[in-house]
This record gives sequence, C-alpha cells and structure tokens, in this order.
Amino acid sequence: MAKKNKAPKRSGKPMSRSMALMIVCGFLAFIVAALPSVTILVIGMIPTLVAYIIDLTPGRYAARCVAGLNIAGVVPFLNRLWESTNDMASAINIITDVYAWLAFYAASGIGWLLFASLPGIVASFKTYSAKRHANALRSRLEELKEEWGEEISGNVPESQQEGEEASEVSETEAAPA
Amino acid sequence: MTDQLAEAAADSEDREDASEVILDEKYRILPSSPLVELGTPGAKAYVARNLKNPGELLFARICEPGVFPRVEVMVQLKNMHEAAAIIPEDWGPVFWPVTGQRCFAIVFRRPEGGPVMPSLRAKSAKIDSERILRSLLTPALTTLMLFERRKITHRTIRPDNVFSTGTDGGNFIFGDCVSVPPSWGQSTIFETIESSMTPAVGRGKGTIADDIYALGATMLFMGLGQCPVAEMSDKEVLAGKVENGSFVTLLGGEVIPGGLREPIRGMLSDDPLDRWSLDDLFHWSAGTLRRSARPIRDYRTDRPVKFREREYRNTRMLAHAYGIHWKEAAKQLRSKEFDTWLHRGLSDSDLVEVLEDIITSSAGSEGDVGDAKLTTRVCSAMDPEGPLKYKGLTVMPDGMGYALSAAVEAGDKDTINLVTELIQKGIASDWFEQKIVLGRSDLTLESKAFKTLQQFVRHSGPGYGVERVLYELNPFLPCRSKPVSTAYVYSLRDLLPALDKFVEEKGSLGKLVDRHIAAFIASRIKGSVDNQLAALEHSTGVSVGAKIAMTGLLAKVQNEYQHQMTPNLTAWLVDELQPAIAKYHSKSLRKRIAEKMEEVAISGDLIGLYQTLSNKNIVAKDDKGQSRAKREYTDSMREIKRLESEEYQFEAKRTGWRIAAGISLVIGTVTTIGVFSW
Repeated sequence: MAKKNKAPKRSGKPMSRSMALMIVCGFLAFIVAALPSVTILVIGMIPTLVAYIIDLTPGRYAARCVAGLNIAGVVPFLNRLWESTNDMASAINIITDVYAWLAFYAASGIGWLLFASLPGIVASFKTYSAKRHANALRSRLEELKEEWGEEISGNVPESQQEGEEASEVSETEAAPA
Repeated sequence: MTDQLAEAAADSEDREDASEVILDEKYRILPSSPLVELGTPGAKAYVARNLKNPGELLFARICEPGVFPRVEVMVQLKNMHEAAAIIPEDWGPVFWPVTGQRCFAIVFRRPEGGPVMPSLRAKSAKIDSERILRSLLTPALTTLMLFERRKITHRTIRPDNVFSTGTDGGNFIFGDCVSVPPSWGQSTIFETIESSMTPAVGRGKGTIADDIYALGATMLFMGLGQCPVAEMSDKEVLAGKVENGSFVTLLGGEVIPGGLREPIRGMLSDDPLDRWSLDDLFHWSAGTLRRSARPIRDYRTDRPVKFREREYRNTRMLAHAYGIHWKEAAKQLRSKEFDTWLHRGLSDSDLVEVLEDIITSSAGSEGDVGDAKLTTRVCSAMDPEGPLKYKGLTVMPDGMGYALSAAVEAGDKDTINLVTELIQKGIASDWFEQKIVLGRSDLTLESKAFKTLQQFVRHSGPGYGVERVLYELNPFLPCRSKPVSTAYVYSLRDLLPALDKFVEEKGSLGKLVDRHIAAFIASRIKGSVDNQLAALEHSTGVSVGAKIAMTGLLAKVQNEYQHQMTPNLTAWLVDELQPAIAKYHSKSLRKRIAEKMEEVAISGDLIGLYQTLSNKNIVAKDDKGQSRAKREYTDSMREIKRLESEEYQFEAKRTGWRIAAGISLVIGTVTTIGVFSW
C-alpha cells in the first residue's frame, strides 16, 4: 500500500541549463537567419498582440478570434516575400506597403467583428431554446400534478399531513379490546 | 339463478296467501290448522299436505324463533327408513305468517296412532309386559343401534313422544327428536342424575346410554299406566334419585309389572358403567345375558359434611351444591375442617388423594379465578360423570354450543362471558384432559376441538371471539346478525341472497363490518379466509381496510356459490367503498377503478369488486408510479432552474466565443494552406 501511495515518478529529467541555452541560441539563430520573415510576422501580428493584452475574457477568446484571421491577413505577404528575394529589403518594402497594413488590420477587424457578434447570436439562440425547453418542462410538471396530486411537489402543508396521521391513529385507538 | 327465482316466487306466494305455506315446492303447510297433540315446547305442529299426493298423512313442526333444530340429525335420519321413529320427510326455512318472519319447518309422516300417554300427568291403560318388550323394546333396540352406528342420539324419549303405529298389536315408534335441541323440554324424570343436574339447554346430545335410561323410564310408566313421580318437582326427583337411586324413585312405591323388573333396573342404573348397554339388552332379549359383577361406584360418604347449613352424605350432591355456590365452596375446601373431614369422612382413598392434590396445588391462587378453578376441579373429581361446573354455570361440554346459543338468543351476557372464559382459560380443555386421564379416550377429539376454540377466542377481531365459537359449536345455527336474523340463514348458500334482499328493502346494511356475519362465514366456508380475517383484526370497523376485508369475505362466499349475483348489495358496497378509491395516487387509475366499480355494481359481482380494490399488483404499480413521478418532478424542477440561471446565460455566451474562435482558426488555417499550395 505504501508503495502504491508513493507519488508517481516524473516522466523526464529536468531540462538542463545547457539545453535551455542551446534552445535560446537556436531560436536566436533562427531569427537572425529568417529575419525578413520574422519582421513581417512581428509587424503583421501586432493586432493579435494588442488583442491578447486587452482581452479580459476567460480563455482569451477575443485574442483567438483575432489571431486566426490576423494570420490569414499576414500569410499572403509572407508568401510574396518568399517568392521574391527573401531579404530584408523586400521585407521592408512589404511592411511599408499601405495595402499590406490594410490587409493586416482589416483581417483583424473581421476577427473582432466575429468575436463581438457571434456569441450574442449563439446565446440568443440557446436562451430561446432553453426557454422553450423550460416551458415544456413546466407543462409536464402540471401534468404530473394533475395525475399524482399536489403532494408529489412536496408542497402539501405539514399540518394537513399531521392531521391525516392523527385521524388514522384515533381510528386504531377506537378498536374494541 | 333458477333456485333463487323459485325461492323468491315461493316467498312472494307465501306473503300473499297467509292460509298456506309452501315448502320446497313439494309440501303445503296450513298455519290455520294446528295439531296440538303433535306439538312440543318450542315447535308447534300443523297439518301438512304433499302437493303431489294430497292423501298422504303428514304434519309439520314449525320451530319457534330462537329454537334451533338438529339439522345434522335430520340429515342422518332421512335415510334411516328401518328405524322405528318418526322420520323427517323434508325441511327448510319458510316465511311463517304467524310469526311474521322466516322459521324452520320440518315435515313428518303422521303416525297412525296417538301418543302412548297424552301427558305425564295423565293416566292410561296399563300395557302388558310382553307387548312392551315385543312392540317397544325390540324395535327400539334396533333403532338405537342404528343411532349409535351413526353417532346420533334421540334424547326425547318419553311416553308422550312414543306413538303406536296402529290399533292394538301394532308397534311403538319414537316421536320426533329433531325439531328442538337435544333434551329440550325433557323432564328430569327421564334424565340421568348427571344430566338432571344440568339445565336443559346445557345437557348436550349425550350418549346412547342416556337414551337407554329414558327408554327404561318410558317402559316403566307404560307398564304402570301412569307416571308416579309426575307431580314431583325437578329438585325432588333429583334428590330422590341421588339418595335412593333412580329405579326406586321412579317406581314411586308402585309394583313393577312382572318381566320388566330386570331390564328396567339395568336400564335405570345410576352408574353409567353399570347401566345396561344395547348389547346387554339384546342378549337379555335372546335369553343369553351373562353379566359379570362390575364394581359399583359408591358416592356415599362415611360421615356427613355440612355446607350452607345442610348436611351432605353423597359426593355427587355435594359437588352439585359446590358447583352452584362456588365461592363459599372454595372457602370451605381451603379450611382445616374440610381437611379433617377428607381424612375421616371419605373411605375412597384414591379420591382423598386426588382431592388433596387438587387443594394443595391450588394454594396461593386465591381470588375469583383461582377459587373457580379449584371448585371446578374438585367437583369433577367428586362427580366424574357429572357436568362441568364453573362459576355457577353447569353444562355438559357437548351441550356448551346449545347453552351458548340459548344465552346469545336471550341476551344473557353473564352466561356468554362464562362460556368464553371457560374456553379462553383452557378450563374446558383441561376438563376433557382430566376425563381422558380417567379413561375416557373417546373424548380426545372434543379436547382437540376445544383447544382450537381457545385459539379463536384469543383473537378479538371480527371472525373470531365468542361469535366464532358460537358458530363452530353449532354447525347449523342460523346467522344471528341483525340484517338476516329473521331470514333464518343457516347455510352459507342463503347468506348473500338474504343480504341482497335486505339491502333492496332497507337501502343499506347499516354497518358493513359485522362480527356475526364474519364469524358465520369463517366457520362455514370451505377455503381459507385467514388473509381477510387478519386484515379485519388489524383494522377498525370504520376503516377502509376493514371494509375491503369484509367485502373479501363476502366475495369468498360468492366464489363458493358462483351463480349468486347480488346487484343491490354490490351497489351499496360500491358507495360504501368510495373512500377506498382515494387511497390510490394516480388520478387516471382512480377513474379507471371508479368505472370498474360502477360496472360491478350493476352486475352484482362481489368477486370483481374485491379484486378491483385489493389487487396488490395495481397497488404496487401505483406506488411505483408515484415514486417515479416524484423523481421526474424533482429532476424537471432542477432542469428549469438550470435553464433559467445566469450560469446558463454565460455558458451560452462562452459557446458563442468558442464557435467564433473556431471559425477564426479554420479561416486562418484554410488561408495558410490555400496560399502556400496555390
């Protein structure tokens, strides 16, 4: 039993500092190597970053809604970058393009619009459905009361119940010896 | 149904025409033509005619209300054509216009001659010994032998109930013995000492030895042409028999005709062991009697004992006096004077020992019950052949049923309570045990029967108690319940039609749970009614449970007599049992049951009514349904609360967010894949 109660062993060893350092170094190396793409991504995903910061909903659904569509707005420009020379000049060229910015923010706006409108619609639909269900249940309750009497609701006054019991007892006491 | 219609038709016919009453569509009885000479106390005689053969000489006896005939003996006698006795031709209850209610009628063939003596006080011509032996004793012995084989007794043999079958030279036959209870109206002259000590209603059916005794007395008076003791009171006759013996007392100083002395002396012996039996009489008739000397029980004491200012020299008479004055007797039995008398006044050492044991064992049990038990046991030891004596009640155990029925009829609560006490406290069964120990093994069945009765009396509910004892001890007693008391319902077959008719006339039975009806059914029904009786015992008469149980008893009767539909009774029961419907929880079930009850009310189907109200499956289904409905109600209430809660609203919003996030993710993914793959 004692063995069974022991805390389960951790599946892996803790990441060593050298390993973490290697990952950070690898990540930095990747940024340096893909700097044009990273630049477009960072600049293009600013609306998502802002949404993430200001989102107070549990689960940060606003950020998620904005992120999906924000990516959809950024990806075509990344594709353009990679199809061209894929250097820093091309990246700057893209991020200085007003249409690129329009695409980033328009897509994010649609994300915001989605976040703002869809939950209301869904909630209204669900509330309506719940109301109908509750009404159906109320009808059923009435049917049950009609069929089985008020006592199934447990609302029969206590004094009435006691009275019935008392009359039963007096009948028994009246029995001849 | 045909029987019912015929009965109803006959009834209505009776009511319309009071000048004649039809019995069983075979006999016409004429209330306007009484036959005084053929009547008996408790049952007057009237002219009767056979409808198919009007020339046949018949008469009918009509039992007065409160006098119950011996139907069990009628059944046996009907097929005993070789018996020298008046045989009942037919019987049954009829509406009797004279009393205005149903009475029991019995039709007999009328004897050709009249009674041997019109009354005990009348004098008649002496009949010679030879004729008495030839024309009375010989056929009487055959008759009594037939009676003994069928375990029945006559118990009303006396000169005014013995008839000649024709002119001189004809035989003599016994008169009727079935229209009144045994020994009813019989003078103590014709009763043995032990039976004389008992009131007429408590004498019971007795044994053939009692009939032999009465036959001996009858032969004696026929030979003498008179009854020399006719003017003596019952007490004087009893005292004379105890002091001088029956033979000497009844002879009354007259000279017995020659040829009769030996048999009559033997037949009138006061010791039942010494009294001549049927075999002895047959052998004597054939001239082959060889009786070995038998020890004669001597009841005389060596010294007298004084009780209530009177000296007793005979233990039988002392026991008789003790039985009447039981409280003073118990006081005397516990005194030192009695102990001294016991050792000096009684020569029978066995009796002394038994009495000492009884008195010693009763020490410490003073009080009413202790005193009564002590007196009962002492009386039984002093007079082993005598009746059971308890708190002033004197009764032969086989006469307890008649005594109880007479007490119920007269409303004699003291006797009813005493009989109940006798059975409940086991005094009657102990009395039998004592007799069995003394060699009366023939009483084993009676002992067992009284133990069963003890169980019945211990229960207090309807169907048990003293009413049950009443009907168990009197198998042909009519139901004494008020609604049917005038209808003479002595068979279960007649109960439902009588109740139905009563309801038809009066509109209701009054109270449904009736102790007499319940006990009557419980004692007469073939199958078991334990469930219904248990339900009756565990509920009060006004409760619905008791009413349903009572309906169950009536349904059992209908089950036994399938053709008896009772629309009036059932319709009243349906009204009476309306509260039973309220016990069901389901409204639709209540409606269905009410509809079903209406149906059975019209058809008169009691079985259907009982099954409708006592179906355990339906009750269980109803209870289960109610539990399920309660659960469903609670669950639905919880669901409504959840649907209308703020949490649910928020959850709905969260769902919207999830959907929006999902759509966004899908668009992002699809765009990414689309851009790079294009």
